[in-house]
Amino acid sequence: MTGMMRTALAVTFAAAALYALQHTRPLYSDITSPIVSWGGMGEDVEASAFRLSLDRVRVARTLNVETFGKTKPYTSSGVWVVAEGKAEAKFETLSLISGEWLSRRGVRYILTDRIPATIEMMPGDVYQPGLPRPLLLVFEMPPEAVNGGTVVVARSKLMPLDDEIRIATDASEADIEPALTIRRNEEGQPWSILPQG
Amino acid sequence: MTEPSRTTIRQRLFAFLIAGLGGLAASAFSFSLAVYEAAHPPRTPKAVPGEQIDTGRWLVTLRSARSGTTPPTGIPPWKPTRLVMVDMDVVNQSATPSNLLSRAVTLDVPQAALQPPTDYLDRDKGLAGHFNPGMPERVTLAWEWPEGNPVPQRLNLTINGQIYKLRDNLYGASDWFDADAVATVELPVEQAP
Amino acid sequence: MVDPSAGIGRSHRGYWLSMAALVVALPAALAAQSWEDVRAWRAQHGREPVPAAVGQAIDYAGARWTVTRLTRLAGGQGHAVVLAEFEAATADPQAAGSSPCQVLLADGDGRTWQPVLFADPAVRKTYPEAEERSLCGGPAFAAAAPGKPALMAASFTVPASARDLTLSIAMLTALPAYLSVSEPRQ
Repeated sequence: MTGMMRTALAVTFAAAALYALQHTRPLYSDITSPIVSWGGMGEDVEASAFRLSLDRVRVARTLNVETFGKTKPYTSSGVWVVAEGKAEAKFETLSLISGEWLSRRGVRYILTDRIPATIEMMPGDVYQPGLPRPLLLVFEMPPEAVNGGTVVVARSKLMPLDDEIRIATDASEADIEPALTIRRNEEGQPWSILPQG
Repeated sequence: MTEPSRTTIRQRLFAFLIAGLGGLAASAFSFSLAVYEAAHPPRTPKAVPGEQIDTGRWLVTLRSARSGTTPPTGIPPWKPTRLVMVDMDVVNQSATPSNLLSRAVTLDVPQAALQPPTDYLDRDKGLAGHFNPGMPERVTLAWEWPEGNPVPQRLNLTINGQIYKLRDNLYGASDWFDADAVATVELPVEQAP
Repeated sequence: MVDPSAGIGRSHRGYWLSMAALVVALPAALAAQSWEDVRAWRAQHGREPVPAAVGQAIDYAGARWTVTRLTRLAGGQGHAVVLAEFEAATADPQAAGSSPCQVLLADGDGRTWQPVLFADPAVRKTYPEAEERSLCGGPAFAAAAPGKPALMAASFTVPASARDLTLSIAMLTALPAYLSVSEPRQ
């Protein structure tokens, strides 16, 4: 009898082990997920190919974009989030194409494609080693996504196992400004953010 | 090793027969199922304009259809083409931004396939990019109507659904995949000069 | 019946022999599969510098190359601009122009800079003719008058503190050999 019981036990054990393995297998997106470096506001966060810091995050209901003397308003069914910071390549010339806002609930919002490229935002810049340059990220999201959001920056959207920098922001739903203006500058800092339109 | 007995061969033949019958029954069953499904295609429910349709990834509310030569940007193109435009309200229900609205809303036309439509954001009077989750927007889809074909009085639109698979069949990756049509909507077309 | 214990002894030895063979066979299989790919990867990266000095004509990739200028200018805001002007004389500009060309500036610490697409205002002011030169590649060879060398230029934005800069010009078909020109000592 013990022989049969032992067989039965072995089969049950094998079934349980297989079940556990099957249900704890990581998703494909977890296996190929980028390698993350975490940081907070104002901190210089280092990834292996670049470093990034976020200095300020502002939230507004309307965004006015001023280029070449003309101002165009952009309304939204949610709010605009404007993040400013600095980035520097460490070893070779590179571009940072992918910027996302990860809300507390895990929903992602990408960099807005409504604002024209005459305003110099992160995807259009080239970063040279040894030369930090200012960086601008603009997102559009529902107001509920603002609190506890994380800014996620990577070189590209598609490369698996690439570096990624995540910065936990201090943006709050309580500080929503009525309007912000982003003005293109011809010299010096490529843009200026002005409050209240 | 024991000697093979005389009945073993008969037993083996019997086993082959049973296995063959089982396989035959299985293929007969699947064939008849296919024939039945072809004879009874699933009915796509009809929806009315103004009704919110859940496609899985999008919540679409069709409002109106019109035809004209001026696109929603307000700037007529240098080569005038007739456009058929459909106005709608959309909300992206998924967790990632998407710009694949034209996969969810398709036009049923009798003639040759149309070019994929262009999405316009009514708020900007410009091209629409990605739609962020949870943000309702008014969108106009504009199809270029081929020359010589008259624009119909009523448009038939099919709203296609999508399902989210946590692990797909190829890589085990998570993604949205096309599912069956969710609804069909008929819209009257307002003709503009 | 055969003696069972002798059979077990033999199968044990067979088992360990197979394990030992696996230790050899597995790496050998991996190497055999990826040898070509590894060789191609190594060939793609510059590994054999062909040293040259500014003003010295040197044969590389079927053309006679001369780096005519490699200077550093002060740019604004704490960075420097390095301008490289070079030319390639070849009997077959079409063939030379069909191969992609990669120009890089490297420093002593292993950092590399790629050429910028738009010339810095400092370059435009001091060396206005450099703007008419194309970047290294097909368009430069196509624009060359027959019998004359193709004129090319590349400018880089580097930190003012960068030292030991070397310019490297690599034609993809001539890799792993690449031209290496050091910044002349001031």
